[in-house]
Amino acid sequence: MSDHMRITLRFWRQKGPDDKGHFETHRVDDVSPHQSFLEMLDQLNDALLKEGKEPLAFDSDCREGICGTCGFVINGQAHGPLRGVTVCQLHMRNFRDGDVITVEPWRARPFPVVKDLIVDKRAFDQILMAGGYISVKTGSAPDANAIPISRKDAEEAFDAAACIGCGACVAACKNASAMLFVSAKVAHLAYLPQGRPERKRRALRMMIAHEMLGFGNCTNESECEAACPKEISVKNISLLNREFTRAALTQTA
Amino acid sequence: MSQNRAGTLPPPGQLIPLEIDESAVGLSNLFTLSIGRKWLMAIMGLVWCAFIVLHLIGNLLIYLGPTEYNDYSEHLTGLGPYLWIAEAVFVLALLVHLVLSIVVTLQNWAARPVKYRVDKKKGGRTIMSSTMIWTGLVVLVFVVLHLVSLKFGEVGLRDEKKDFHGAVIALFQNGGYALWYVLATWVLGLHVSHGLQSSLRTLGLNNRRIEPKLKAVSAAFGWIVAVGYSSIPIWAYLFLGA
Repeated sequence: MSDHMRITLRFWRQKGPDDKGHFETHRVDDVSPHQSFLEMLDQLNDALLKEGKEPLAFDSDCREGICGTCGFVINGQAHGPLRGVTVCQLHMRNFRDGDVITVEPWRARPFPVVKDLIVDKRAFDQILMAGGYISVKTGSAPDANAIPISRKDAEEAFDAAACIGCGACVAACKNASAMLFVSAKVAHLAYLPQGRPERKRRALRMMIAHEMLGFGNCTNESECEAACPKEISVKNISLLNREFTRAALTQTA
Repeated sequence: MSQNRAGTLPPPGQLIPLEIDESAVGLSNLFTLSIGRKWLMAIMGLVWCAFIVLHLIGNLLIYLGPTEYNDYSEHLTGLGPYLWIAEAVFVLALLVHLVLSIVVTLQNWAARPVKYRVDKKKGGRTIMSSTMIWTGLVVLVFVVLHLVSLKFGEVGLRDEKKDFHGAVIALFQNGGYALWYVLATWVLGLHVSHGLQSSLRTLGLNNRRIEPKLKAVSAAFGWIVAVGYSSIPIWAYLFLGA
């Protein structure tokens, strides 16, 4: 096929969390523009295995952009050049024959590299464990529409709940701050009546966890919003600021 | 308060809940937390935005002529203790803003120990947003030098019944000095064009309706500050030379 491309990949190699890591370069011939980026990496790994080398380790699961497992930095951009997509939904047609592509893992102190492009994102789970939930009796499902919620609030809550926890906001932020993630998790509950009883506790505890884990401070440059595959709005960060400050100033009063 | 996890991964599948006590968080220790620090920084920044507006209005009186400008400076020095209180508030606000900004910046650098080989923006980052600490430090140097020359120096504002109008114009006859003022006030414009909207967001003032206006208003404020302040040295140097 004449439309096939030749891509030079410069990718991050790191044996484990304690290894210093380095870049390695490998050419991938015969790349179809219809392939996804991850399929191209599968092809790279086939070639590496044939050469007797260790394949490149990267995370992926659903490969349809909804699970939040995949993600790394492509040519300096989290999830690559397109807006509103994860790496698994990025196709090689967005690159040109002869391109040199640099691939790096998310870089943040709370996201240590496990191997190559795989980082440990359990810091996100620890933030959720600190307060990103509601305490209710589970069991039988509640009646639909038993609690009236306005269409506007439902839409806002749903937009925030679209966060898949991929970590691109942290990767793209120059301060490695996870405020967009925390704000999405705070907002999707803050808009709903079920989230209100624990709102003070939630905002305070999640932000304290955010800081304990070593994420940076938000400086409102909105690069996270641009990098987010689910296009979560930074207005959620303003909402988180409101929730946090209100909680801090009123909980002891 | 931070936990360094680099190099020490908990075993696979294991999740360790953090020990968090949120009950002690209040106004007195707000600065020990990220949003609290930024909240204080934002308020101090807005205090300075107010100062910048007042100072600019005062400065622009120079275009009305020597009488009006000298009357204004005389009136200002005549305020006595009220002026000192206002000055003390602004100095304190600047110091708090400065100290917190250095703390926040150092934490932000520490949050990414390994830098990216290639770093490219995807839409949010601007020259202003990525250089706040540097533009801020330039403004700090400018404020100090500015106070030395135009407040406490030879042509200082302290002496009453003085031709302050003539003194300011004489000062800007030095091309290098005028250029430094132009550059410094443009850097100030860059700083506030990100700072204004950033501080309003930190204080929680934003929703989908305000969002596009917030950026435009903040950018306009930056332009007004840069053009307004720098117009004086440019005008004095180019049109009032001997």
